[in-house]
Amino acid sequence: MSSPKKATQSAEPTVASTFVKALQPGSEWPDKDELLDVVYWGKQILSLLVGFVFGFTPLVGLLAIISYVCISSVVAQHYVTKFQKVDEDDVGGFWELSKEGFGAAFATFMVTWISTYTSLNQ
Amino acid sequence: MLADCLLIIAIAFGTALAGEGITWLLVYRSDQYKRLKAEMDKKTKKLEKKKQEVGDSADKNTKKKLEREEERLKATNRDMSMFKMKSMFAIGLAFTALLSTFNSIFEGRVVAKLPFHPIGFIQGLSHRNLIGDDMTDCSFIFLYILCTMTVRQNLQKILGFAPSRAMARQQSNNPWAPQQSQMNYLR
Repeated sequence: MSSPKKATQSAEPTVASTFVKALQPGSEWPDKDELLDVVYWGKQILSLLVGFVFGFTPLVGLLAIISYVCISSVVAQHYVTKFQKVDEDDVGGFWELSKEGFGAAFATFMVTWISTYTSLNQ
Repeated sequence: MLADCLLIIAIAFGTALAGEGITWLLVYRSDQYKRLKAEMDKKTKKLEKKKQEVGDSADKNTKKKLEREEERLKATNRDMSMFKMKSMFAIGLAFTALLSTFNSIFEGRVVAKLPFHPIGFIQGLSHRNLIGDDMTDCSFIFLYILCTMTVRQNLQKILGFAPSRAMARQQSNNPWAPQQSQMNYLR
């Protein structure tokens, strides 16, 4: 039989507990994959927001795509290092953070951007 | 145009949901797959831990041991891929047929206006089966691929069907083994 302390430590994090931790600055992240999951979903929400804003503005062309890539990478990096105060290298470095969920997030941005732009420029 | 846009997002959502549902029925829920996945996860985490403990200063014997474990991991991965292959192939065929049906429904129709000028090879997709020279006109297939990219990956993550990070890292070490689930955008 394992002790209660050990049981708590090995307990799987719930969505609610991860959400609370994600919003609190400087939370403890013993499981780095949990933090990467937060980064993944954060990027999805950010992509939706950026897509709407760029579509409404409207910001067009290659400049918008480059801006999105920069915003997405910088925000993810700042969230981990400045807000959560986790060493970047613990989660694989800047490149790993930028890559985390990039394909899906970029597609989310594109779909939102194109749909919003289309609705305003039919 | 916005109605077409929303319809395509709904179609992508529907097909991704159906695809994952059928894959669950044929693959994910089977005991053999569950056993292989658990084994794969366990082995990958163990190997990663060992690699971290050993670091770069490993002697010959330890390196050989690690290589052997990596080989075993690759064998399990191969078993898993083989188990998935048949049903994935069947699902792939069914959804390709479905895609060509949708393609013919939306043929020649501008479904969206692109806020950028696509570069050469992307124009082949974004302007497929469209008349006119305005490259900012968007065809069904381009928007559908984008929608599937986002919906499929998020759905797999929510439902817990996405491969674990440790497994993905192991696979990404091998440049010739791309993640199949992420490559099948046309399915």
